[in-house]
Amino acid sequence: METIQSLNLAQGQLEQQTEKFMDADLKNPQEELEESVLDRLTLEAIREMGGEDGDFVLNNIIQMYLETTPPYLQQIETAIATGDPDSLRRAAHSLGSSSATLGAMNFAKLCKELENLARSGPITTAEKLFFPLQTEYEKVKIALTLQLKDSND
Amino acid sequence: MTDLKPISDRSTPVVLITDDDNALRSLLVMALKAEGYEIEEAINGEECLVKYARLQPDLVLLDALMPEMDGFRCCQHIRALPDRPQIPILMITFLDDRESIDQAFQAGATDYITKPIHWSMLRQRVRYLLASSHVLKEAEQQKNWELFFRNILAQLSVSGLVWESLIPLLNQCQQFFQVERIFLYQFKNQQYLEAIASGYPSVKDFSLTDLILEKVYLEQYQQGKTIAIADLEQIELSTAQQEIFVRLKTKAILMVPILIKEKLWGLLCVHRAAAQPVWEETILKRFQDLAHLLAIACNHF
Repeated sequence: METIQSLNLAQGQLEQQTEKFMDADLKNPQEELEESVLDRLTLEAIREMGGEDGDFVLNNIIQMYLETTPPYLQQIETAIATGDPDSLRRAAHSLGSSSATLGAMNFAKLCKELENLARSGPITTAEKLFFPLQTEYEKVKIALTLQLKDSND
Repeated sequence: MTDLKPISDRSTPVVLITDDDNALRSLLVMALKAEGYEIEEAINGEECLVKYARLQPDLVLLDALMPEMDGFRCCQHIRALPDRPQIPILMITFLDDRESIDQAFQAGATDYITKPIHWSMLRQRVRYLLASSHVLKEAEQQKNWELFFRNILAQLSVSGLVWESLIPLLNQCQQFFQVERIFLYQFKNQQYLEAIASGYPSVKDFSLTDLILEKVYLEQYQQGKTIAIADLEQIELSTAQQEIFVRLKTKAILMVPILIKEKLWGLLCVHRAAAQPVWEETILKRFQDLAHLLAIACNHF
């Protein structure tokens, strides 16, 4: 009897552990990437606003963003290379604004840093921010493209 | 003399959205259209100013930084316009940018929201700004009306008032209410006086009894009832009567009886060239007040 009881206990513990494991918020690498670079609530709010056409609306906005971002990045790179704070401020502002609209907050904050830097005068240190900006955009691009697929489902 | 615009010729508030970001602008349009507003768009400050002048919107939503002319300068331009517009201007700034927020208020913005836009906050803020602006506008119009009414009262209080003395008063009323035509009709002598906006025909070539729709409404006039027709095309009229109003370029009419000692003495008639969604209650009451005043003054003729 004792043995059986112990076994039952062990089985109960095992079930608890299994349940815990099953309940754990397991995310695949794609979801983790999406969550680390995009604010899901912001995207959901856009989808919700579109009502029945929510997926279509979100797709359109994402596509517009993916088309307009590379030229802005190019403008930022050129402005840094030529030491043009006005151009840097404008491009960083526009890019930051559109990124915030889609919930790419880390990316938007990097843009804001560049905008503030350009506003305060010499932009010699801006170059250091460009690489992280490019890297973050690559993540944003992947995460948004995944959203685009989701929307097409 | 202070001009009074009709409280509103439109029942749907017009919101002018100005943002250079196509994606965000389309979202703003969608969010506010769903609230039932009429939406107009501009892509920079310059276009916003042109559209502002043409549309006279009820609220301007303005991105702070845009190419060509930014939101701050655009806001300053609107506030510096000759009629010193009190229209609510809601500025959109990027993240919690203190400097831009300060600059927005210095430029004359009423309030601000930040990107990323919290959509329900946007909806609430627009609703609140429109409501408070409407209340302010009404208070201002009420103040103007009281001044105007007092002025008319003073003019009617002078001794030796004759029928023709009422002509300048009617002209003042026509300008004050910015209506196309006002005429005063006296039943007993079948005489009339009129004040007309430039470019609009006189009633002199028409049968006055047809013009006041006497056959249809005499009984109501005798009971002191005001007849307000917001769109003449929506009521049944004979072809001849329709023709009269077409020639007079009139699509909406208001007829307020003037009773002296409870007897129908005359009519104060107001003509508008555009059909109205409805004759505003406030406008109706103000013309009724004028009719009462005229009744007191005309009693001495």
